[in-house]
Amino acid sequence: MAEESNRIARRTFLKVAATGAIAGAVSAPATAQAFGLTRDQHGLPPEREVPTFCELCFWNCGVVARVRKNRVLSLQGHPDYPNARGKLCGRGQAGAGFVTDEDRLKYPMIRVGARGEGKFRRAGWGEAYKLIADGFRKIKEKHGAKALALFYHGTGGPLLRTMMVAYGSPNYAGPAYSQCKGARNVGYYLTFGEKLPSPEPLDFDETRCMVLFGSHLGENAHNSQVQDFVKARARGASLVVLDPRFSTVAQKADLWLPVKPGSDTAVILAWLRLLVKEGTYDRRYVEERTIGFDALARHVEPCTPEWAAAQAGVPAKKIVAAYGLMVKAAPAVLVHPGRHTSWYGEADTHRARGQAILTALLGAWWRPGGTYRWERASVPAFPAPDFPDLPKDVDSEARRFRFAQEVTTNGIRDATRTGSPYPVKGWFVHGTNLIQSMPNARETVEAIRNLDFLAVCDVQPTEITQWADVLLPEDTYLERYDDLAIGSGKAPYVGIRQPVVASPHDTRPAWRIAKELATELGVGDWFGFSTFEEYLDTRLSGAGLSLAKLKLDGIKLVPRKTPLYLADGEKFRFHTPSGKIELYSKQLADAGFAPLPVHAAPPEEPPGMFRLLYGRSPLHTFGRTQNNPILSDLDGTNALWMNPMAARELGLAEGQPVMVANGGGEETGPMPLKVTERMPAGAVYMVHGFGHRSKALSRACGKGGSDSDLIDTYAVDPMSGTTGMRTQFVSVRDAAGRVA
Amino acid sequence: MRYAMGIDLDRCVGCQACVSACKEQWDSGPGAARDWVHTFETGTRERDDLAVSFYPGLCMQCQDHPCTTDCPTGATYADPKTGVVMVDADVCIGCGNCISTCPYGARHFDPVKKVVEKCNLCAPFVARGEEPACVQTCLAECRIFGDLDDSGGKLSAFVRSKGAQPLVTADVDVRPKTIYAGRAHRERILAAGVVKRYERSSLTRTWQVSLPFARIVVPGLGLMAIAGGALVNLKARSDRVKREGQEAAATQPPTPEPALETPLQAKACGAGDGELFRHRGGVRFLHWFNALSWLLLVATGTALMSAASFALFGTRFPRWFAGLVGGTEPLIRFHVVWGLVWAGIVVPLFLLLKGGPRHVLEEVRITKDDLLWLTVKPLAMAGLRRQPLPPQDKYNAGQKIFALFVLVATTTIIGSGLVMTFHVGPPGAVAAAILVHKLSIALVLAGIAVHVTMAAVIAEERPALKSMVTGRIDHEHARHHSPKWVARLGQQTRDHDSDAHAASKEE
Repeated sequence: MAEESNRIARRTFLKVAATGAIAGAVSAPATAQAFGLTRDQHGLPPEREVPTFCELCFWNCGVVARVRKNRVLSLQGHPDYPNARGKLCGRGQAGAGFVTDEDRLKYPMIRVGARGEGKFRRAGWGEAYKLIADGFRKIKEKHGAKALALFYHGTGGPLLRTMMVAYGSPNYAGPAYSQCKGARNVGYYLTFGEKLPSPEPLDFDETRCMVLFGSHLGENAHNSQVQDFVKARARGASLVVLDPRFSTVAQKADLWLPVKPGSDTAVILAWLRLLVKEGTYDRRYVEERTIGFDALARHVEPCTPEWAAAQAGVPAKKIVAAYGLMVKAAPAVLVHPGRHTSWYGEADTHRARGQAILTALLGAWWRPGGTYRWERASVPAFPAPDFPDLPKDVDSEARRFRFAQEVTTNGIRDATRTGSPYPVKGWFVHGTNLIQSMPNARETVEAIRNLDFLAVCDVQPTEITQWADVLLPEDTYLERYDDLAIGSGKAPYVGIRQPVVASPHDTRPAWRIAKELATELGVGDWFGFSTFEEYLDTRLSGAGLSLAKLKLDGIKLVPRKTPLYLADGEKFRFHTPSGKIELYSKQLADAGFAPLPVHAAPPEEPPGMFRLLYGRSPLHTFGRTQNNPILSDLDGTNALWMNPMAARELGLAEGQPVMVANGGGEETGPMPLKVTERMPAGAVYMVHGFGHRSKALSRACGKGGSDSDLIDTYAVDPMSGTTGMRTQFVSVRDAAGRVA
Repeated sequence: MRYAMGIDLDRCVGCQACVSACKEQWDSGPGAARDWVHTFETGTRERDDLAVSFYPGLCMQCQDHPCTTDCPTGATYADPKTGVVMVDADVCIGCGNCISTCPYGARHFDPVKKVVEKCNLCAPFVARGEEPACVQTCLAECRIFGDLDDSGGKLSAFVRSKGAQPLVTADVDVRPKTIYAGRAHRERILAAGVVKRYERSSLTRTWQVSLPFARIVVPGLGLMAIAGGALVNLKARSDRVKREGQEAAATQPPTPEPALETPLQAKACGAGDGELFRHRGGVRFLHWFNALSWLLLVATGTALMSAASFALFGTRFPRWFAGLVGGTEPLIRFHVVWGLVWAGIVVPLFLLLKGGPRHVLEEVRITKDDLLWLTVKPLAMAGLRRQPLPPQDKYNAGQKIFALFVLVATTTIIGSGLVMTFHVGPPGAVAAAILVHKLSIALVLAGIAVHVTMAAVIAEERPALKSMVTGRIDHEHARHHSPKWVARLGQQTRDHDSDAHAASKEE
């Protein structure tokens, strides 16, 4: 970031000097750095270092911010944070750009044009709050509080949820569940009775074999997990990767299985069969800890490696070889459950179940080298009245998504669009750009048009902010307090987010917005604190911790109470109905679903079309960072990856701008074509999050293509409620005539 | 001590945390970064030999560092203590000349700072006991920073255990200290052609061509002028001796001077008997301030050109000179500040004293007499012509031409100096300004040699030098050298007896 204050002094000096030197001859370039008159200001020591934690993504890495005056010099990983260990990824390093970004939302705004037109007038906070409260009150009076919904993503969200629930609405949802981890969480919960935390409790330290499914590790810079992965690999752990695309981790693998998209479960079933048939599963562990082995054995009987090879399009001997690596390492086998797993709908929960069962047969659940038992630090909530009795949320009312762990964003959106099972008329959207973070943006816009009121709170002027009736600007994460980071992992901890610099604009933190709006809505009793320090202090004191010390240290590691692994012979009742690891899920059978994982091949792509795959850049988080000054500069556009043969057939060349269409009239681009053998012939790939359309995002607008603009045909998983999004077929054409 | 970086290519996952950390730490402008991660893909699915190699690159800290030889200001240098190749942003003028010399493309022009950016292994941070930003944050821990000379250090251990080697080819080996482990990746990176041949920029090539001119022709001209002056003196003396001999023989009384205007002029200008007032105090100050500035600016400017390809008289003089003033940075600061002050004083003061640009042009206007004078003067100096020279104004034609020349050159020098000082325009413009600046100075220096010879060497002209000190000129000398001016002075004094300003305006 610019040494702003130094620059200004320098600039003034330059102008004076230039004027004095020769009248009107030259006007000095405003930001010229050095010419022998002033000292190079870089490399000066910071005046203070402030610990906090990152919000560029939700790995919640600890940060030490180096500050001079009101300016962040640099951000470094907090050495004591288990998920940072003194390091930050490329995104985290660039966080200070959000503070100085001229594009950011600077003051509350009230819509003056038509919805979606992006025309606003500046307003005061009081007026904005009053308008929102009036809008919500009218909706509550007419349709009940359940007609209000909160969409949220980020550390500030839970306090807004408190506000919404206190006001009487059960409808709060985030794309982090239904557009991301939902199916995985449900599959593992059905099997082990545990809700997977973040970071995933994978024992990289001890593992001797890692099995990754479509993983973007390295391309998705989940800080400590990337560190762990590299270390494990350097230590000699073997690596099996299933991915149609030759990903960063595939490149590192002992065995890369370039499976056909959507055929992972077939390979898993073949591995299960091999374990059963060859008796290589962990016999004692399976007998002691699981139920349903016999049913499983019968179920996988037909799933030979040859069958799986035909399904997945990889040689049977590779499937067997991968199995061999696992058996050799068992039980120290790390089967990664994945993270973004909303790929194909119902198949996703089955795949997650398959991964969980594979983990169990290898005896790797809560065993060294597989997974570990996670533990969260215990910190009491801030005292508040009991919440009112809530009506049923939209999904429960509609009796759908029997095993969902959260209300789904798509469920709320559908209710808003259709009025069924009941109408939803008011949204509060915090920190999530629903136009990009949900599939089929048309449905989102349709829903928004059905709303009586839309309030949006964000840091940046994303697409959804342009539809808001009232737009609230939030402090960036470097300017605000947030609720505590209560970390789970091998080492439980409590971390603090605190202001590093002061916001240069009329912005406020989410906690304050929640408290002030709640007061306006008449539910201020749930926010019985006057400053956030008071809130934090109350919570921390309850856990025997000191706010003052936490502000100084940034993190407090809390001693574990539970052992790290499940010891052999240790009695343990899993939190499943049977108390055991459920290889066979009676719950699923009772609900009318297949009780054992099944492989259902997704439909083949029609001729002339490609399956659209999407993924991550290590320098971007979803659609949140494309406008960041540093990140847009380092990675300004995504490309469309295509197999060379397919490109040749279409007469397309490397670097050529192309348009991608979904056959339903939607098109995205232009974006450059990357012709690469890393892609299979039938699929194309792009990094998610580009192709912004909000003109207020000056750097990101119009750069690259947006997968979410194309994904109309998403498949909803009836078990978890998540939206499978690797289901879209697209065509590609030369962008000539529409070149950027 | 040889600070260096080791990179384990087998560990790198291409996440670019290093690049982002570097950009943040060093505030590199749009499109500029001191390091990079490139991706190279090889193989096919069919052959089942796909491979991806990440190439995390940065300054290779070459021990031959070709970049330092071609930096016109010496902003690029290898730190004698640590061996780290640095760019002093306060000395860099952003000409971009070093960029093409780097075989690895490790140098970038920063469009905001207007200087060249490159990795200095986070020197100020390392000096405070920290690791370079990229090392500190590398998620894969594939970077090892250390001292190659420390045989017990982690970098040496890395070299030994991993067989790390620099990226060099049979054609290009400038002994880089940045070393890479992971043989397969290293070979793929080299096969991708990341090492380029060293190329001299057009600025360097032009400079090399013009170096002999700057080194020999300019001082040579100076010496020739002085020698010529001395010869003229000798001849004048022998002529005088001869004439005095003849006069003594003839014993003719000297012809009385037609000293018509003298009393009037003396009265008008307050000069002493037998003297005309020629230069006001302001003009004299201007002259001597200009002279001093030239002396200082030429000296510091010469000392600034310290790189091997640019140094005028070897690299020792610049180093010695910089040492005198405490380094290159104070030197360039002095040069720039004095240059700005010089330009800020000389130009307005000159125009003010001369009553505006129109009067200046009037004074240096070349007349028919001047043209004739220019033809016959050399003949007269060579003793080939005895007739009197055509009458000259306040300034003779030679002086006028020199003045014209100085006016044009001063404008050019100030303009190009400003371009360099304020980094105006793209690197190419700054590079061009370097050539223009130095060419103009060289030409003026040649002129100055003649000027100094005329004023200080040739005995006959010494009253002119004296007049630049005292302001007054011997009436006899003026009448001889500037009869038109003297005549005009007399005319004006008669016309506007009481108005002294008229004369002073004509000054």
